Parts: sequence; C-alpha cells; structure tokens
Amino acid sequence: MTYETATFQAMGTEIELLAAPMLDAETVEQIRLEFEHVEARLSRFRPDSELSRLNSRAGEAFAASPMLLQVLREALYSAEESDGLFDPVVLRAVEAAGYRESIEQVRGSTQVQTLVRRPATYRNVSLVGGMVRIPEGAGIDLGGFAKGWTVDRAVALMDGDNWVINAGGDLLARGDGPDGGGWIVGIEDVFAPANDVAVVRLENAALATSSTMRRRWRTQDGAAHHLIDPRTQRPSETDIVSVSVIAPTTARAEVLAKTLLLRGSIGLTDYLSTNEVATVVMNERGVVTITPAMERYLVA
Amino acid sequence: MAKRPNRYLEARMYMAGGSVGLLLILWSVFAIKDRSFLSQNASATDGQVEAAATAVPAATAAPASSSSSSRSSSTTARATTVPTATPQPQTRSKAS
Repeated sequence: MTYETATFQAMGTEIELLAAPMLDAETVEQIRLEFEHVEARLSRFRPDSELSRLNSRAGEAFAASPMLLQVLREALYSAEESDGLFDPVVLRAVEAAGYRESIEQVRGSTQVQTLVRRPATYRNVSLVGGMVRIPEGAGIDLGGFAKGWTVDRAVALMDGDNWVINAGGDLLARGDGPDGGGWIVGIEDVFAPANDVAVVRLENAALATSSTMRRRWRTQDGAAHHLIDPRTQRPSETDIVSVSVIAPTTARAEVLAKTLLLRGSIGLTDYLSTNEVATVVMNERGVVTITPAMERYLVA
Repeated sequence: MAKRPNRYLEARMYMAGGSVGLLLILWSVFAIKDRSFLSQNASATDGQVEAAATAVPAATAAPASSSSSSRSSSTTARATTVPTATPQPQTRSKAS
C-alpha cells in the first residue's frame, strides 16, 4: 500500500503529515491552520500572543482563554507528576541563558548569560476558575510541551485512521502504517543527523526526542542550550545528550524525554529501575542505551 | 609290483587344499565384516543427510508467510536467522 505526505512550517519547525493510502489537501490545510492558531496564542516569541500578554502581566490575575487554561492545566499536572523536573515556569531562566529571540537570531551572535534573581516554580502559579496568576517577575515558556500538545489536539482533525503527525520530531502515529505492522520511524543520531540510532515501528503511539545538541548558541561562558534544569535555573549539565521516549500521547512523550535527559545517567538509571519506559538514550560519548520496554518496537 | 604311494605328493595336496579352505574361510569372515561395516556406515550417512536436510533449509531463506501448518514452527525460526534488509524509515524523530 502507498502513503502520501505533506509538510509545512509552524512553531519554528517543520510539520510533516503522512497518511495511508491518501492525504487529502483539505485535511492538510485544517491541520496547518490549527498549528498556526495555537502558535498565535501560545508562542513566547510573539508579543501579541495570549501567553506573552500573560507573562507581561505577571503578578496580576489574568482572564485566560479556554485553550490557554487547558494547556496550562496539563502542563502544571505534568510538572507535579515529575516533581518539578519539568516546569513551564522557566521563561526567565531560558532568557537569562541567552535564548531571548528566535534560535536563528540567537545563533547569530554571542549571548550574554545572566542569573535569575527570584526564581519561581509551577507551585507559585494559581488557576482559579478562568483566571491565571503567575508570580511577579516570572514567566511561562510552553515551548516543546505546546508542540506535543498541539499534535495530540490535531488528532480530531485528521481524516481516516492510518496516519502520522510529526512536529519537528515529536510525533503521533495512528493505525498500522501503509504495509501493516506500524509506521516505520527513524530516531535521529544527534552526532550524525543523517543517520538513525534506531528504527522503530509505531502503531497507535507517540514518540518524542529531546536533546541538548539541537538548539545551541554561544555565550560569554561557552556554549549554552535550551534545556533548562529547574533545580539550577541554568542549562542542564547532564551527561546525556539525547533521549527518545515512546508514550501514549505526544505531550507525555515530550515531558518524559526532557525529564529523563535532565536526570543524567545516574538519576535516569535510578528512575528506570522502578519505572518501565520505552526509551533510547545517548550519552555525551555517543554510547546508546535501549531499555527492554523499547526493544519490542525496534526493527533495526 | 604295486606302486608305492607318494606320501610327499599327498601331503602337498592336503596342504594346498587346506590352504585354499583356510583362505575361503578367512575371505568369508572378512566379507561378512565388510558388509557389516558398510551397512553401519551407510546408515550413519543416511542420518547425516537427514540432519542436513533439516539444517540446510533452516539456513536458507523461506518467507515468513509460508502457510503449511506443519512447517510453521521452522518457518518462525528461519525468520529470526535470515538477515533482512532494514526498512527505510517513513518519517523521523529529530532531536528538538
């Protein structure tokens, strides 16, 4: 059986749609509009987005739209579940690390790193009724979480029951693929992006990859990256460079990939000794570890 | 005068006859032993062929979708031993 693909740009990345046997143009357009709609509300790079307005009114009660309330509830739930290792209230730390504009602009010059004076956490955010209040001086960055959340949200717009939505590496697969047995997905080798460290078959599952190697820039103190460790409020100093996770939803896979990476090798080993996670981990020496839960997905 | 029997000639005839008989006996014994050896060897060879007959297909390709139920278990084994080409990814999870 054959399948069709379509791509477009949104959220600072490439969105790819695949469907078997066919992908109709109207569905592609609906998905594109949905990504644009969410980006317009949740991007921290757009001064007129609802998220930017919330951040600019930190310390005040803010009447949020149902969409913002929904994504914030889910992000705060994930923060609680990870005991704060995932925390959307890291915007000031991301900016302090030098990531104040789009990644293309940030890479263009050496950034000045500063320190966050009064760090806040997700525990300081209140959601009461339709009102949101974040601590004064704090800010929310939904970044990768919003991307995965939008993929999960776009499910309702997809036609048929055999397709993939891939938002820059965070993807959700439905159905058994064009040839049965699942959609075949490569997991990028961050040291050699043309190669894959593993190839998996996905059927009704999500996959996300987090890495310290992709969004990097120069600072006066050396290289920095976008994955902030909420415990230090600085780019993480983990010995892991890439984590890919398979989970039921894209947002869940994204949070797990990020938090496993932040744990570092020792913390990750502890976590995996009591939690079964299908994951592929690569450390800074290029050593790849594949958990037993991931093995059943592997085709290479 | 009656001819005196040639005892020497008689003895030689007996010896020659005895030797021939002994050779026949020895030949028979070796012939029986050879038959026994050959038949044992032949059955061992047959066993090896049978073993090879089961082993050789296991190392050669057979599609995993072979349908005969009596062959299905060995087909499964073949599927694990035969190297297959890595499928090309239809999409990729890039680092983000």
